[in-house]
Amino acid sequence: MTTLLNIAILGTIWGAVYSLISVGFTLIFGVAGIINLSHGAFYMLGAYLAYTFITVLKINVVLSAVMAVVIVAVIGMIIDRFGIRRMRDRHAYVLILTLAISFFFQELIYGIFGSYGKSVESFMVGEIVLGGVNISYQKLLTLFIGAILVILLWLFIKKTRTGKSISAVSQNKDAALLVGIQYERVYLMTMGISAGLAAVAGVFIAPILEAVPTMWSFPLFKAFAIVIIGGLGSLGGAIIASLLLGYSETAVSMLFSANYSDMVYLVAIILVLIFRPNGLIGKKVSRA
Amino acid sequence: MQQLNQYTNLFGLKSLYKRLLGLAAFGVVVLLLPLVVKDLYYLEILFLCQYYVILACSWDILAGFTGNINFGHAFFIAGAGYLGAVLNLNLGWQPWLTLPLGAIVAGIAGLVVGTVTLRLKGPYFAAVTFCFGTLLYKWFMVSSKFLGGEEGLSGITSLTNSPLMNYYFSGVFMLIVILFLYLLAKSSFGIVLRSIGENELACEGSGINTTYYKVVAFVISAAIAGMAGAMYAHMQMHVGPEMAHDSLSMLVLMMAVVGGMGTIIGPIIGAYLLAITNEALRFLGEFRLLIYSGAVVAIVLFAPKGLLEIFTQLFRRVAGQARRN
Repeated sequence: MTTLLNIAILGTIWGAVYSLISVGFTLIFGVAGIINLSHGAFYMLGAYLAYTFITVLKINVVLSAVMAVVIVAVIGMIIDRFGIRRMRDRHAYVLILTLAISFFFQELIYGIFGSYGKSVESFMVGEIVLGGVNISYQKLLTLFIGAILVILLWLFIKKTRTGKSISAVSQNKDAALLVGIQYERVYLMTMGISAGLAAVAGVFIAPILEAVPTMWSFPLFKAFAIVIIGGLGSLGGAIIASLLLGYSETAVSMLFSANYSDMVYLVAIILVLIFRPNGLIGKKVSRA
Repeated sequence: MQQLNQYTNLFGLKSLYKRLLGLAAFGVVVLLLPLVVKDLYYLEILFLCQYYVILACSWDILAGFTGNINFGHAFFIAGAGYLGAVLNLNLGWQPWLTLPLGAIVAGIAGLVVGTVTLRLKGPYFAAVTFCFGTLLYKWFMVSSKFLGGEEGLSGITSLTNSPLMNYYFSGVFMLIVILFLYLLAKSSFGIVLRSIGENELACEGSGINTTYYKVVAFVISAAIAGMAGAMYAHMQMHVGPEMAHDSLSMLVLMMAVVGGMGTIIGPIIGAYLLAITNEALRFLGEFRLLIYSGAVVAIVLFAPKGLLEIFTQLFRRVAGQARRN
């Protein structure tokens, strides 16, 4: 029974983290039509900036988090404006470029920080016990912030004018242009939001997991798995699939071994793409 | 049309014979190099160069020609490498058996993987290949003593009796691969592959079964990579999970991209450049990879056709200047 509760709670927490990462990823794909392989790097930069500000420079936690997120969002926008924008018609090169950027950041981080895991202190120390399961405050905080941000994002896109322009561009960028929406600006903004969200995930995960220079690849491809399962461009799908992945990974970890939980998303991608290339829920086509 | 011209007009040499002559000249240089370079350390580096050329060229067959970027090339390299190691350590099979078997098994694996994944669009194919590569890596890491786990397997029979023979083996292998690739590219099969890369939809509209061609290219790519992996295993006398790591896949990709995807000379340049600067800049430590990835970013942004294109343009400008004077 405790195991089930454990899976439910931890799974939800990880689902929230994955939501933060994958929602931005699916947004970029839905809106700009590109697969941004540097997305994981944003997560990593968020974590390392959190480390630098909080642990090394001993700056106040809230300020550090905000600074880290803003800096990463700006980096994301720079990458979009000066990198991806030139290559929008040649998707193969966008893939290579963004992957190379991820690799570049990995090596940069490795050069500056070394390969040993960097840890950050928890933002709130202590834990509560829920039905026999110990949950740290940090994890609860992550869940809380993740849920709030995702809801805020949803409201932003559905209710505000700017948010609706994002929706419009994702539907048909030329039609959006005809009604006066500059789609390049929307791409830029979407990239900033996407990068920022990934950075938030990185900042909050930093106290839970160690920060290592190779930490960009697993969130990237997990986000990919989630987005494929949930359907590209679908916000709701991404959230549901994130939770699904969170639960399955936790379940595998508890029932078998932690080693195998890291393979769940890989198997998921392979299975889904082979048997249901259109995703389980979504609209866009992934078949050639 | 411009792509085809770029291909036939390499370095201004239009005729087939001039190109084959170039390849032959390169071959002679490769074969005679040990007379000049005696130091075993350099010979080993050159072995690595040639190994990387084989990897980069095999990767390029699919990615450069058809535009389907494969992020998991290490899957075939390490898979065949480990297979060769296991067969060698447990059944005593020698390199002359394990290498061809590695190629065959890798080819079959390529067939299986390719058939189910090449119907997907570019980014999805890329993602699935990455997953296969990473899955293999993780599997190796957590595997039992049979596959060596994190340590890998050691004590594999050496490839040949001496580093010199190793060099020649890989050198000849490399030259054969280059020749094969060149003939492939010139054949109608190669032209179909290129046109798939230019515009897959138009190809399908012309009645070409693009998936079939892509799968065959993938199988060839995998088989060559597999054989190279088995060769490497014997040369190093050790295999480890790092052989399946995504950084190797990425390295191969970067070599082909930096040199020039889709040309044959491009990956050769990229591979030699990477292997040599890897050693030459060893004192920079981890900054080497930083420079590479930075170089890849720069090249994709400013010269997507790679260094080969830069050289060709330079050459043409110089030649044009000379002709005018």
